[in-house]
Parts: sequence; structure tokens; C-alpha cells
Amino acid sequence: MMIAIRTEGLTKIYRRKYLLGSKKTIALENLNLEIEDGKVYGLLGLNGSGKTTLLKLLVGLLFPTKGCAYIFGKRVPHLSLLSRIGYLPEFPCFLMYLTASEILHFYGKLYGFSVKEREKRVERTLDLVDLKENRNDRLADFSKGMLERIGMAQVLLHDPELLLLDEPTSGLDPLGIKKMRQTILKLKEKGRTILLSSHFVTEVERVCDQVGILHKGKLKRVVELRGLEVSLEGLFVDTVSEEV
Amino acid sequence: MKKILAIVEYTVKENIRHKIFYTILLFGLVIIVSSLLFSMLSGEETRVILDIGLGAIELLAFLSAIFAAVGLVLGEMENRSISLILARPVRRFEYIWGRYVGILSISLFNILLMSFGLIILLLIKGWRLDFRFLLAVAFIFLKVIIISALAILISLISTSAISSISATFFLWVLGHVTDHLKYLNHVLVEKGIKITIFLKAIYYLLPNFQYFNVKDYIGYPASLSGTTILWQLVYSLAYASVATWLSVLIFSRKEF
Repeated sequence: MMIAIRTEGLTKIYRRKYLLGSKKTIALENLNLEIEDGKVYGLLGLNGSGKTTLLKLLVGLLFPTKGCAYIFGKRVPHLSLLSRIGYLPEFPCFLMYLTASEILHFYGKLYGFSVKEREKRVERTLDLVDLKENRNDRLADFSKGMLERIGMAQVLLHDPELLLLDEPTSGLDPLGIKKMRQTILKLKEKGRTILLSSHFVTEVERVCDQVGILHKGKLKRVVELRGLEVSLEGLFVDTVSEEV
Repeated sequence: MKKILAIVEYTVKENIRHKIFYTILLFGLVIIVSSLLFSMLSGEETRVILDIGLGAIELLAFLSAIFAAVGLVLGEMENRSISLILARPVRRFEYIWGRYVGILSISLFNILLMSFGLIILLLIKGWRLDFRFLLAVAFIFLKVIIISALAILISLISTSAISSISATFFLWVLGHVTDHLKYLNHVLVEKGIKITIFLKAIYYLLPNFQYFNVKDYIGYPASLSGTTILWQLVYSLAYASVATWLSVLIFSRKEF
């Protein structure tokens, strides 16, 4: 089986400088992780456990302090990899003056799609997230749920092989959560690799093949969900409580 | 190149949908038209309209550039929408150049529109189009080329919009009085205080906007040589290129 993501001793330390001295925060420490191609991998952890930091390191928004990461065998950051990755931040922010269609066209241009190709992809993606009717509405007029959906649309626009989803269900209503779950499962069927972070155990349990429990920047446990006989929630609580 | 153009287009689109863009434009046109009133108080009507008009174009082009540079670049970093751009196959230098050229396009549009309004007004008053007027407008744009590059650079190293705008404004003012540094140096040397190297460093580091004050020549027999014009063009492009290169360097190391 091919490895989609591999990290070797990946470490990220944030240094905040003050007038007198500085403060050091270890966000990720010596992370060694392997995620197989075509799998849905859930990163479970409390707030501040390093989930967002890992996703940002993989997409090149942060630079590692030590260690390195590989995606499809290429060392991160690598520009060509970004065409194969779809990234959804926890709170996606857009230029609110643009319409739904305009923002997707803009992102489409950054992938180098032709006008015809862009038209096709934008229409298809807006349809996928049920925003076809709102294509000419400005994002400033969108509700929180609609913005989350446009966030998912920008992930799916270029049909990526790897999806990095940071808390994809946070801020969604129950219907939105269900829709998001269905989308993830459809992508899984299509053989896409998905790395999602969450602190909702039940959501992770429903869609993931494998789960990594991150705590204080360290990978504490990797759990294979198929055939798991104990409750994931219990396992998660036990793991993070050991050091609390 | 296509990605830079996409960012240019997006910058222009974003800016023209911002209220401040129309406020600045309207304010500029109001000042230009109101120069008519002031001109009535003077014997040299066209001179007054020219001075007020060109002054307004310069001030408002500066304001439009500074608000666009600080508002768009710093704003995008603060609200994190930048992460959705950089998570795509876009090189960091493409982002900076795209934003920069976008801001210049908006400023150029503002300058051209206000200049057009001023020309109409002057022609009504019986003025004959002077080549140096066009040169003065072009030189205002050269100033904007420099200050926009500096505004982006400052936005990348400052922590808030207020500090960014204040620092850029400070540089704009200093850039108009750099020649006084030479005089200051002369006075200090006479008094036995030697900080020549320090003053020289500041003199060469700061942009010298006095090179671009062509509007003072309009209506008088003195003229500018081709070499001077070329030198000023090279100076502004070189200064802006270095500032933008520094922005790219800083931006490449930034984390989001």
C-alpha cells in the first residue's frame, strides 16, 4: 500500500517574543506518522493538542522547527503538491465582497484551469454543496452554514487526491453535519485520502478507518477502527487523562 | 504570470467594491471642483485651479494607495483569508506582485479619472493643455509606485493597520523633506557635531519625493530634460523593486 502522508520527527515550536524575553510553546513534538493512500484518518485531540498545527505544516502555511513531512513521496512544502491537496481550515475566511461564483473562479484561476474548465468545475462544485441558487450572492450575505459549505466547495473544486479537513463539522447544524459526513463517505468511496481533525469522537468514529490521538503535541496512540472492541471515546478519554 | 494576473484582478475587484474607494474618488472630484471657488479670489485663476487640482490628485492617489495596500494585504493576513490562497499552487512572490500591481492599477485609474476632471475644468477656463501637466500627473504616479511598495513592506512587518498607516504616512512626509537633511548635516558639522554617516544613510535610504515635483514647472519657461525624466523613472522603478523584493523576502518567511 502506498503511503500518502509520512512525517519524520516533525516538531513545531512557537516562539512569541516580548519586550523582555520570549515564550516557547511546543505545538508538535517529534511526530512520526504514516497514513496510507485511500484511508480516512482522524486526528483526535483536545484543544491545543497540535491538530491544526500539523495540518498547516502539511499545507506549507507553517514551517517545521525540526523534522520533515512527505506527501505522496515529496517533501513538504512542494508547490506541485498543492494542486493535489484540498485544505479546509477550521474557520474558513473569504473575501466577503465577492460572490460565491467569483471566489471559486478566482481559486480556479490559481490552479491554471481554462475558462471552460473553470465554468464546468464551479457549476459542479456549487451543485455539490447546494449553493447553485446562490452563485451570484455576495459571501457577505451568506449565513455561517453557507460559508462552511463554500469552504467545502473550494476544497472540492480541483478534485484533490488528499483532503486536509480541520474540524469540518464545527459550527454546522445537525443537517450540515450529516451532509458533511455523507460528502466525506462519498470521497472515501472514490478512494481519496482524508486527514481530518476533530474533537468529536462520534463523528470521527463514523467516517474514519484509523485514528491518531494527539495530546500536548505528541502522538499518544494509533487506533484501527475496524474490529475495535472497546469504545473509542473511552480510549480517547483514558489516553488524554493519563497526563491531565 | 497567469496567477499574478488573477491576483491583480481579484485585488481590483475587491477594492472597487469597497466604500472607501468611492469616498476617496468623490472627495477628490469635490476638491477639484471647489478649486473654482478659490480661483475666483485670485487673479491667476488657472494657476490656482492647477495647484489645488494637482495637489488633490496627489493626496488622494496617496490615500487610495495606502488604504489599498494596508487594507488588502494586512487585512487579508489578519482575517486569515490568505491561508486559502497560499494553500494553492501560488508562489509567495506571485501573491506580493499580484497585490502590488493590483494596487497600482487602482491608483492609476483614480489618478487618470481625477486628471480628466481637472483638464475639463481647466479647458473651460480657457487653459491650453501643457505637456508638463501630463508629466506632472505621470510623476504623481511614480511617487505612488514607490509609496505603494513601501506600504506593502510596512504592512508585512507591522502588527496593526493604524501603525502601518502611520508609518507609511511618516515616510511620505519625510520623503518630501529629505533635502533638508543635507542642510541639517551642514549646520551640525559647523557646530562640531559629526553624525554625517548616520544622516547620509537616512538620506539615501528614504525615498526622495522632491525629485518628482514637476507641477511647479507648469506655466513657467523652465523645463525638464529628457535625461532628468529618465533618471526619475529609473529611480522610482529601482526603489519600488528593492522595496517589493524585501516584501517578498519577508513574506516568504511568514507563517499563517
